[in-house]
Amino acid sequence: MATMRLWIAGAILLGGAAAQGEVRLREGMGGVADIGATRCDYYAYIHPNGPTGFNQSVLYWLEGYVHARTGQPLDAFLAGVPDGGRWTFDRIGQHVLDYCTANPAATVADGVVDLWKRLGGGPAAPAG
Amino acid sequence: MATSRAPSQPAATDAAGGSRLWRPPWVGILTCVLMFVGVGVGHAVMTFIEDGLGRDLTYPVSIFLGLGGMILLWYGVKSKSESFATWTGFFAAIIVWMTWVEFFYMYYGRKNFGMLPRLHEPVVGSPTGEPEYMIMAATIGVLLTMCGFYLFDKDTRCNMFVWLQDRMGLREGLGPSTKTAKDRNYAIITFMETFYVTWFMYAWNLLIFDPSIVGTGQSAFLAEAGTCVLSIVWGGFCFSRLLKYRRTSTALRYAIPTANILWINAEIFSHWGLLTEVWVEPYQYLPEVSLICGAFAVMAALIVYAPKKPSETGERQGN
Repeated sequence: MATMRLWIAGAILLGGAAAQGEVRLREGMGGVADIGATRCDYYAYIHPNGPTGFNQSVLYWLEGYVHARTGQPLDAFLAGVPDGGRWTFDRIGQHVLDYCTANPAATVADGVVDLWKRLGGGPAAPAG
Repeated sequence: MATSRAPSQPAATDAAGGSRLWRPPWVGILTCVLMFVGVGVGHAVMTFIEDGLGRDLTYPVSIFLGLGGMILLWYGVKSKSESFATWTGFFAAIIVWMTWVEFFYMYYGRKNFGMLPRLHEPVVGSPTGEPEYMIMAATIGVLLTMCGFYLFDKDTRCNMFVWLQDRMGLREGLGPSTKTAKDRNYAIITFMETFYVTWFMYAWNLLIFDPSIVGTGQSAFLAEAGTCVLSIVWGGFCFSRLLKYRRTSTALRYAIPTANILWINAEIFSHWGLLTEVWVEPYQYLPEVSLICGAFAVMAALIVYAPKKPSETGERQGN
């Protein structure tokens, strides 16, 4: 029994260590593991190499953010926003790209939060 | 995929003119350097088109540029001049490859499918694999299928395929070739040769730079170093044969695979940081790229105006 507990404790420790490791994509995959954490200057630099894909990544990040803040899917949220119908796939991607071009030291997440404010959302969630 | 057999070359001592320049080994050296430099020029031209038109305009325009390449090929196919046919076949293939393959894949990968590039590091560094190259890597099966056609074609005159046919005991089963030199259309031969060799070398390159296949670190280095050795041995062997060529048209066709096989070293050395690919950033290295383009133009002009045998100019068929 004592040996079993030792194994369980070891497994938890190892699992914890793995969880603290950097999230990386499998070798050979395209894209970045954490688009929100990507610095704006780098995002603006690599964006032309996959504009549609990067816009899609940003859209996913925005959808998660909106859902976390409102509990609503993005479409439902936009339906309640003035001019919400104007926020198309391309326009959302362009807004974040423009933000990143203007704010190279910021992150893509900052660009999405800027969009959130532009849409009339509340203040950004406190960091940490 | 060279299309002419070297053994016939040294016998061609009645080559054009009495010039000392247009004799072995100078014809081979010049054509090899020309084609080697030509690969760099091709890279620079692509960048100029992309920057000049902008990516969004490049995609639709590439449809018509490729069509222009096919019209050029049409003129080459109609021509009786082997020299003209060889040049038009070469340029048509380069144009079609750049526009209907590279720019089309770029459109599908970057714009249409929404693929993302492979990145060297999660947060810094240049992309190591653009979406178009990820699509191209997936065409290896089609490439090898086409390779089967050339391997089992009894009319092929590519030295490598003829050698393989001999080793595989295919010569008897295939029977004698039904085509003589005058039956061969050098425009379409050069077109397919340039196109296929470019495709093959791209695929080889992409394979050894693919981290999901060769891994990273030491295993990737071994794959790259092995490729360097193989390409130097293979390309060196081709070059040694090319040195014996006297006819410029034949030498040009043989120089296409020779230079492309050797070119893979430029890609690997660049990957290792041993040289800068100035042709990929022509605006940043404008003097160097201008020099490369100028050298290509001068060497091409030398080949075009080189004295030729009647069979090359179309005055007399055969070789």
